Amino acid sequence: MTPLLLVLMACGGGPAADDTQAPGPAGTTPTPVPTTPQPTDAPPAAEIVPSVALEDVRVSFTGAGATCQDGELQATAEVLGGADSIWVESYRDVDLVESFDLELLDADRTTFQAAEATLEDVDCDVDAWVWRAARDTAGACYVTGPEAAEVARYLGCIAG
Amino acid sequence: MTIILLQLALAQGTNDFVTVEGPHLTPGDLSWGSATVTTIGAPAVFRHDFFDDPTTTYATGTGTTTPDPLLMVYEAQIGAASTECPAGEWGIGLAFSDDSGASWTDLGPLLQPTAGTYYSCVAAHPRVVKLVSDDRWVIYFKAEQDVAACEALKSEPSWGCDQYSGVGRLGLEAGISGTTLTYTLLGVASAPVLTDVQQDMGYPDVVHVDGRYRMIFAQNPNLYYTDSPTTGGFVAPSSPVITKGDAASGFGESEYLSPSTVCAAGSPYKVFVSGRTFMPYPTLIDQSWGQFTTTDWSSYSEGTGPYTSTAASDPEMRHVYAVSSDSGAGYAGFYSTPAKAGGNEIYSVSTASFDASTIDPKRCP
Repeated sequence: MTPLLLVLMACGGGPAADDTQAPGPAGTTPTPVPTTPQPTDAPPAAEIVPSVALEDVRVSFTGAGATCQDGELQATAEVLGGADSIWVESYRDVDLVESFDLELLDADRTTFQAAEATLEDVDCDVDAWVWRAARDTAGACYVTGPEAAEVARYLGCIAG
Repeated sequence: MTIILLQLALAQGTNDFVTVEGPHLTPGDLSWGSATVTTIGAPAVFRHDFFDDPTTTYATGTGTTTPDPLLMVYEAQIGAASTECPAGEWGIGLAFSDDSGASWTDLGPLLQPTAGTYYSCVAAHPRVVKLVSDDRWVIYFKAEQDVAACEALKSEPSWGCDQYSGVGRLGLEAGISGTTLTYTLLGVASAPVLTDVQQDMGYPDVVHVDGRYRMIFAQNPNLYYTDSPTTGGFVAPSSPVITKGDAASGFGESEYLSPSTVCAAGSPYKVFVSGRTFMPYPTLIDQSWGQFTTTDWSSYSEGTGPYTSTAASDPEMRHVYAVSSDSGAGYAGFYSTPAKAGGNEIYSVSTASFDASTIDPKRCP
């Protein structure tokens, strides 16, 4: 199977009409040959791209977790795309309670970038943790916790 | 799509696994440039949920008229065993199918051994988990390094200089450029995500369930479990969760290996495993493929099976990677097996209800 060949065929590639149109009987109208690509469901070809500039990689969370007990919060998060800052917000119902900054751990921002924090005197009675990452004007949010689905819907985030 | 060639022994009822027409991929099918590939194996197949993505020009909105692309990461040997690399040199490649796995096209190498890294000799046993979005995946792999070269560094790396450096990971992102689907390497983690492993560690199989990445790996002769809320930060466990000979049916008397978990059908989760029995070592009298189940990731019991057994004249299935389809309605196992011409080739077995166009991700609610 050669995907590239399929794409060329599906997209109307190939010789020009003048080269291929058989002469018709006198007085007949030659059948028009499509000159623009036709809609197709055929999959395109595929290739590996070995590297990409960081600014071309969107920021997204790949995982996060919070353990909060007796006022102590241990928070861990991870993104792809190189964030300048990562923080977590606690929510009760759909209301913001507190916000906490995480420390970025990895100097190499082109790989999976982790962040964490251990904090005291935290109100652990929350319904969801909303994780946020920012790079320049781009950002991402991700929600975990018992009411993650509801809070994610309310905020337009992705539930973990 | 498939032609049944052989009804495997021990296959009965709705859990029948039958061999699919193959091979799906051979060393001769690969396009690795100047590198000569002598054998391939450890296939991990996953689906790129492409045609439901409304942002692409190829979106159909239904995902039913054209199958989603399938991808296969595999290991390939590109260097013989040497003093520096006792297990040889191994890299990871990517293959593509636009016809639900009936045919495969190799896209070339994703990762090759690189001097100065924890995978300076080996990047092998790739396993895949979909990330939060439909177009990104994390690929885990077993790594080995050149010990002498590591010890010659000015300072020892954080993961040490043992040959078995641990488990690595890389990110993969799908995109489109014109009419070409692109699969972009987002970067290989600069340090292993699991260290402190021992000799004969391998098959770092991961699923994402209940907010955690759950890894089961083999460390001869048993299977171990560890988890993490992120794709990294795994801690090596001190004791196994499945010990040789645990299967009530008797398969795997000497060792278990190649765990592969499916989660789409929910709990109890199925952990497909290979088991070997030597009598005595190294005389292999049986290699079987069976299954354990777990509800809590700490206790495991044998499920239905084993499905195949070399003692019953079934093919030798190496490095088996299990997938489910349509939320667990069907199952398949992709594996490598010795070819008559030398080296390994990639085949699969599947149940009658398996549908490659609906392969489930290894990311579950």
